[in-house]
Amino acid sequence: MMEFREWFCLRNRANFTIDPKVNPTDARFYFGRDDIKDKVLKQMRHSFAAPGTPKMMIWGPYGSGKTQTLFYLDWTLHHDPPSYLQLQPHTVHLDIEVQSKSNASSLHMQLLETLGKETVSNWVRELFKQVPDLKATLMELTSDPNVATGLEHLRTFGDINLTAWRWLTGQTISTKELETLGVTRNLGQVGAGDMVVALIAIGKLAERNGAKLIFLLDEMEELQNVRTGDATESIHQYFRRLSDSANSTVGFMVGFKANTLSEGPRILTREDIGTRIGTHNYIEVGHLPAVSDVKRFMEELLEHLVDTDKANDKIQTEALEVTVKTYPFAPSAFELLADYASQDPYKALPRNIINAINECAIQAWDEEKALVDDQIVNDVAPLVFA
Amino acid sequence: MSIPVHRFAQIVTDRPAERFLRKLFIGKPDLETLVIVSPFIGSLAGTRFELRELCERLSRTNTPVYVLTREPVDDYHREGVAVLLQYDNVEVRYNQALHAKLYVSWTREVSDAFALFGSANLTYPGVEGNIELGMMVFGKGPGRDLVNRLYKWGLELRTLAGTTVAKYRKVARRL
Repeated sequence: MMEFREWFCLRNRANFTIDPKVNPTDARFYFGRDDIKDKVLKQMRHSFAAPGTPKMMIWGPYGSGKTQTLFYLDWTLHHDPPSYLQLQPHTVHLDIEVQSKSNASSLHMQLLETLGKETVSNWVRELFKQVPDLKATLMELTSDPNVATGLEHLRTFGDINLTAWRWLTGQTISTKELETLGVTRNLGQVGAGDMVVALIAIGKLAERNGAKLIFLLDEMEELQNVRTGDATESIHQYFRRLSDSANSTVGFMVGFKANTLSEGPRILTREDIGTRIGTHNYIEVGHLPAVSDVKRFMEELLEHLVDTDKANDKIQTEALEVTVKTYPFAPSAFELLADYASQDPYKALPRNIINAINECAIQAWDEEKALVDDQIVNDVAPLVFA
Repeated sequence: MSIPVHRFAQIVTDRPAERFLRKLFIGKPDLETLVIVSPFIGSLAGTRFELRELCERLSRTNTPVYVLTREPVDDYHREGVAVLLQYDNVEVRYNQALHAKLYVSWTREVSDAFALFGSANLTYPGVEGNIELGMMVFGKGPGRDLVNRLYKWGLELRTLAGTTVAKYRKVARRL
């Protein structure tokens, strides 16, 4: 039997699912939601004009497309960058892991470890090649001499490089190691602001290397797992410092799950952060509210995933009663699926719709049907949307 | 009386709700969705545009109708909602905090879409008798974005905290 992808004339892909984590080129897709797309792109463009860096919160219910939005923004930064952005974007994706006692130190360490020791070390080494006095140049990047000293050691290789990195990531090092590095205390000992100073210095180091450092932090509803007051406050302070207008260097785009903004993690939605980043930078990615929105989403998805030339040939050769607009769904099946999908707005979510399309197609393939018909939709859709 | 603000908007001081219904009935737009947000809804029996007739027309094309109103207490309101509940293509939701009045005729071509917001409920007095004020917005030029925003706002009310479902649109299994 013909392969699934050939059966439905798929364009260089195995199925109808979209997952930029599995298939990075899927990041370029943003189907049927021009209003949200325009809004996030506008906010991102404006953020570089200040001059500054993006500080955005993308929120919405499970399956609404927050992750896809973050990946789409990342893809746009690299392929269609805003004219104000003169530097090469250096984006870092991260799904934060948070436990009940996690604090700013664990967040800071995850950010830096994902950015990578070698990346930062190479930035220092490149700077060393360009300037006559590395230490003096690093001191221009930060007000904290300890941070400049820590960064300076990253130029080297071996044990001291690792010790300096451990210090910069906020891990506690011994008195002897502090002495070896020539720093006076552990990073973070006086609070979260300390670590933000180090992060911003790394952001400035990136800029000196022609790169703009932007973190894309997904699944940040995890912050609700933090239970202790001190830990919560330290993470809040970390974000508050990053949100401050004084930071025009390190960008962050955060995704978190919430049905309403007030359900989101308080660490990210408190007023002091809202006023710093601006309420217009909290962008809701919600349901597809009406049948027409669902249809537009489905049409655009099929248009991009199906090879229209091959599909047209197949439609003509096999005299299928369908146009390429809804292929491989028979027109009535297409309408029926849109009806099922939009019946309850809480379930009219991209994740569910994509899942339903894929499952319908699989059943059609199993039954060796050229098109998804009403019967298949009636079988599959209630399982997804009921 | 209608006072054109620009070609995309009109202030309507004479029976604005009737003006909306007239355009809906007589203009026969290629309707994709109808949004009705009105705290009180009557059957409109005895008016030129009865609710039942509106529902009949839209059920023939299976056009989705999203209705948000308050849970009925008075008889006239119960009658209005009872009409709506009979049609598969109509979704009815309640929200007791509702005070806004918005009607959106969302069409396949946005340039044909139009909306009315103002003071008028979809009741006999709201359509025929009361002194009401409304603004009609048409999906032309700058009105395009306005109608779009009103449409989205109307739909968002469906998932607002405090909104409950009285009846989903029914999806009929068909073969």
